[in-house]
Amino acid sequence: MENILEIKDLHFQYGEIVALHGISLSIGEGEIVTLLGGNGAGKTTTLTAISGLYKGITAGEIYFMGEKINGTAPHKIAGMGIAHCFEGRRIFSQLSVKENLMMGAYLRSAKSKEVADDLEYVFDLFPRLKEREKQAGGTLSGGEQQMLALGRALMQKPKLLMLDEPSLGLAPIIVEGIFAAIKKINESGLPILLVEQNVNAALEVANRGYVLETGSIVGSDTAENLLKDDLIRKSYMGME
Amino acid sequence: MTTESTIIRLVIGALMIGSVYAVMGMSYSLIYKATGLMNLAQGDFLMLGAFVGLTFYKTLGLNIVLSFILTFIVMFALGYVVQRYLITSLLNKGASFSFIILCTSALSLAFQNGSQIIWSPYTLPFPAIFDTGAVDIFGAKVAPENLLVLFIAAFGAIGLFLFINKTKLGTAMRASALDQTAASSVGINVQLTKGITWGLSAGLAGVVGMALGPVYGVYSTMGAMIAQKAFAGAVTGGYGNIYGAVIGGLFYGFMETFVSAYLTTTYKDAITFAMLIIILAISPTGLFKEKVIE
Repeated sequence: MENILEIKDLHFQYGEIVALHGISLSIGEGEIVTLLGGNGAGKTTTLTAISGLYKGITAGEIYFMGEKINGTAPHKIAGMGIAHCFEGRRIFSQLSVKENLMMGAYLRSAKSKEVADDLEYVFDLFPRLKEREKQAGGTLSGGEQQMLALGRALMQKPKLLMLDEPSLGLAPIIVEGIFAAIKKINESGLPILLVEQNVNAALEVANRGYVLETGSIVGSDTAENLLKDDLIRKSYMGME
Repeated sequence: MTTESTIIRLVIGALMIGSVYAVMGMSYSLIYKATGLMNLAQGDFLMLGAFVGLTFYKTLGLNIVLSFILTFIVMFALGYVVQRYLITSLLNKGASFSFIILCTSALSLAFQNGSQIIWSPYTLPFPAIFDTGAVDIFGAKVAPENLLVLFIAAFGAIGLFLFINKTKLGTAMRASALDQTAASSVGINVQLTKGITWGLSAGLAGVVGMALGPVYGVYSTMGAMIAQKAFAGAVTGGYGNIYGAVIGGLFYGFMETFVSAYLTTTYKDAITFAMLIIILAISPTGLFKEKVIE
């Protein structure tokens, strides 16, 4: 199986502060891979490094579909097919739901049939968005904003979807819906790199996981095994 | 002349200058919204546009429509270059916003002095554009060049409005203004959209300046006072709110026209700026609050 994303010995710093000490990881076709770890472990940093939003890579390589992408401008990385759903969602608050979604398709021809089909797909996945098509993004509830952020990312027709804390601050019932959607999105074959505080929910949908601690990978295994792992259960799931 | 026709003449005059303030105010707000900056050389883009337009129309003898189009293109390019190569390189060196605003102030002086060297330190006449004399509008005699200013400014304002709200690139500009990181993550080249924003606002100012040529003549400081009034209009309308800028601009256009007609021409500017101070004292964010400022 060819890897969609391959990170080799990646070092990253924010100014003087070293955030990643040489991590290596990979994502295969159609996989959901999750990054586990406490606050400040380097999960979000890893996503930021991949999408090129902060220039802090000091060593190592990131390959996306066989091509080295570190050092590439973020809008070009997006154009290559990596969609990044941010922690805190970061939808365009004063743009309408439809405009937000169409901005996802910014690099594609807005009038093409494919874009129209994808919009239909997003609306099928999240009927709520269809109902609120004309409303400003900022007026949506937290759960709806998360749907919009996911929808906007899907409108990019990405080859890799990166999700940062999609359940953050949402009610359990909404979280369930979001994870069901993630599962459904992945079933269409889209590989997903998932960062999630809700370790249990993340491992339920993921194929594999990496455990990060203060900028280093300290373990990796199948999701099934990680769920059974005592240390994981104790450290991240609050179970004795 | 009847009082009625006087009032019509004044209203047209107010609309003319008010729409100039409006479109200039919009360009201030546009730049603020898209880049968080204030461009103190905005009035000089207007002035340069007048000189460039004069060169195309009079010196090179080109057709008026072509001259307007070329002026827009030249000024767009200048605005784009200023943003991409001057402002961006300052930002990359870590310059704070106040230094960049100061830099645009220096640019303003450079443009004014440069225009004196390249063209003239005196007021240059801009030849009449139309063969006909004054046009009769409901009994009021109005120079067609004044109507052209109104037309160009209104066309510019409406065009800008449609561009920002109805086109993909315009939506991308708004998206970049709201959240640069999220914008680049969907593939928008934020630096490019910023450059285009500056280009557009310089291009618009330029064609308005060229249209004003036949009305006021062309001189190196012609943009300065217009820019101040437009700035007052933009602030009154809620800085960063492009619709507010239109209303603010028209407001000052009407106020100064009627104040000079019925009260005093000597103190019309003093009254304009006193009005600005009063409005800001009452409502510090302007009449229409703009979220970006908060």
